[in-house]
Amino acid sequence: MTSNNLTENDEDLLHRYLDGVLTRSEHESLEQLLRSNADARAQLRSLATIDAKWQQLALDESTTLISDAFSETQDRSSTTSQHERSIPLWASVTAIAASLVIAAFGWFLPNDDPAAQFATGIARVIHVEGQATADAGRLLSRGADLFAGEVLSMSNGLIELAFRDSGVHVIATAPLQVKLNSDKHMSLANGQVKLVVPPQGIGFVVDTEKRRFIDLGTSFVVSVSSLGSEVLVLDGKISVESNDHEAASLMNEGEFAKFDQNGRTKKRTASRLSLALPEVSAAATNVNTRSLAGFVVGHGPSAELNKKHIAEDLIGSQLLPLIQSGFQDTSCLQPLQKSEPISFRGITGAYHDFPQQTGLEPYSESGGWLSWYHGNVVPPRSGRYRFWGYADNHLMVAINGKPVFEGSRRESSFKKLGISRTDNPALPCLIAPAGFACSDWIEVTDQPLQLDILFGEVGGRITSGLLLIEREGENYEETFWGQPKWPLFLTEAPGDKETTELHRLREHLEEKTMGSFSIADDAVWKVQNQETSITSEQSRE
Amino acid sequence: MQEVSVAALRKFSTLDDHSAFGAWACLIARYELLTARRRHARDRLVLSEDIIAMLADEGACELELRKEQLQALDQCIKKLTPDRRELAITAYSTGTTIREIARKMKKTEGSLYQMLARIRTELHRCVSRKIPGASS
Repeated sequence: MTSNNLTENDEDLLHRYLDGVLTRSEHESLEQLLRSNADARAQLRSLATIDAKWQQLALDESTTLISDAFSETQDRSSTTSQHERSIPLWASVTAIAASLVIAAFGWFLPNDDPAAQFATGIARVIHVEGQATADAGRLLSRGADLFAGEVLSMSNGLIELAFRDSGVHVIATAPLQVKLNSDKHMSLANGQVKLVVPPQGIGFVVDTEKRRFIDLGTSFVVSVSSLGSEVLVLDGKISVESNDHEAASLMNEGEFAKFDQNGRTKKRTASRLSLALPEVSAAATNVNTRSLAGFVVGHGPSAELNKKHIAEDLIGSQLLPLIQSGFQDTSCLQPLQKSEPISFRGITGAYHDFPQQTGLEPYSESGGWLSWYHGNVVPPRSGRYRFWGYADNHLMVAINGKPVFEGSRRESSFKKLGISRTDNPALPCLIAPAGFACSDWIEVTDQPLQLDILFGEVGGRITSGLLLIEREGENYEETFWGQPKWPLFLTEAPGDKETTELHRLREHLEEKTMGSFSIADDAVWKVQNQETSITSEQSRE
Repeated sequence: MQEVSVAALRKFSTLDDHSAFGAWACLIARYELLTARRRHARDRLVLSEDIIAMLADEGACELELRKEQLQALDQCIKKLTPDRRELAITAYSTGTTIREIARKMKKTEGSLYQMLARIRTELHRCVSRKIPGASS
């Protein structure tokens, strides 16, 4: 052991992380260490401060070199004294901030990876399909930088950008002509752009000829053509101003507005996107032995519970012992109300009335509900898979008792489990705060495995979700915005009526939220050994 | 991750009111870290959001300690041999790759990373001696 209860191996992991040379399995070990050991986190910050110091010294050194090059007559002794003097306050402040950044990401000492190269543009191309050009006909490819004042043009295809300082994420589709005025401002002359604006990008401006759209913390889509402009707010709110100083108006999630070429408002519609989302009919209540079985749980009616704040995740917390026991210890379910048995029909669309449809009522609405599906399934083919999805509020998948995917909204207690997930703001999502999440790759064989799925609501009646599956190496058709249409995760192929409903739902998602999915028979994970499933186990209790 | 560090550097260097540092540190850490995580999540092994949040939250409480550590580092770095100091500065400079340095020094990349880790450890011990609690 070394200091602070860290083993040499632990310390080695920290160094290798800071150097950016961890393997995937070492990365997993490091995450486990950091999550469970405050000393390890403190040590990482401490070591990262040393890296920040070197970074600062290296920058000072390069600044001196540049300064020397411009001033041959400079007195060398003054340069030396520059190094000798104590660092200014802003410099220490800077280094401390940098150490926090480095502690979280590692320094990633420069290597030959082009993604790690330093650049000076205001935005960078993440992905491009088709031919995109900047000023002077400069062809843009992945990793290219865009500079302030440049005009980006495309005649076909799409391009994905990230602004360096504001963190604003943009997907733009051709025909496109857009000027990147600054890190917080673009002027759209033609085309369609979808923006996801993180907190530090609030105030980002999209100018069109007649209208100015100012982000107030959101995700929105702006389209411009010869007929005028349109805007759809996917999440949060924006301010809309006319360029002739007419009073600004606010637009909220779900609102759509159309302006003619003179800037006059032609149409404005308001709806809550999540409320307008179709709810597939309750095929879940048609229980059979072919699909994964489950039930819904919630707290019984209680005046006490109704006084609780809805954001307090009672149901999620209640089920944590079940998850932590690998879905073996069901004692935490004892005090809860149970629905009728249900079968898994995928997770997609709205579930506002699910507790009623599945017979959970009467239950405490403010206490939330969770559906638990459990059983043994066989993957359609061996290989590496990963889950994609999101939920308002709870979504979790476990394989052989171990959670592998968590796509919940931020208030979910499932966050406490520290399940690895990657958020993808580029991908259209009904509920942006949750992000469109994906799991790590999961290796499976064609042997049966235990599958557990939890999906539900923290409290209230607005519930939605989506759970998709991707197989490594497969090619998937993409949406207009470049999202692969991964198949809906199913344990039984849908019937004709169900398929029709799912297609209708998919069309709604494509039109209203620009997201999508597909339905594929070869993505169905068929149920095995149904006799060991949740229904029979639970019915014995 | 240089671009994130440089963004942090640039923002902090323009901060006039240094007393506002605490609030800035929390903001910058959270926003920069989470944004960068999203940006790079596809390419790299990045830490999960909950760990980043823990690092940022706990780090914001250690600002005084970090300032003292930076001052102590000035003295500790002076104690390094000139060639070790030069190696570290070269390695942490933008535009230089470990592969290039390794080639020039006729060493393997692995041995270079080990040397840098040893320098880091030596400095960490030196700072811990000067400021008890610097790593806890």
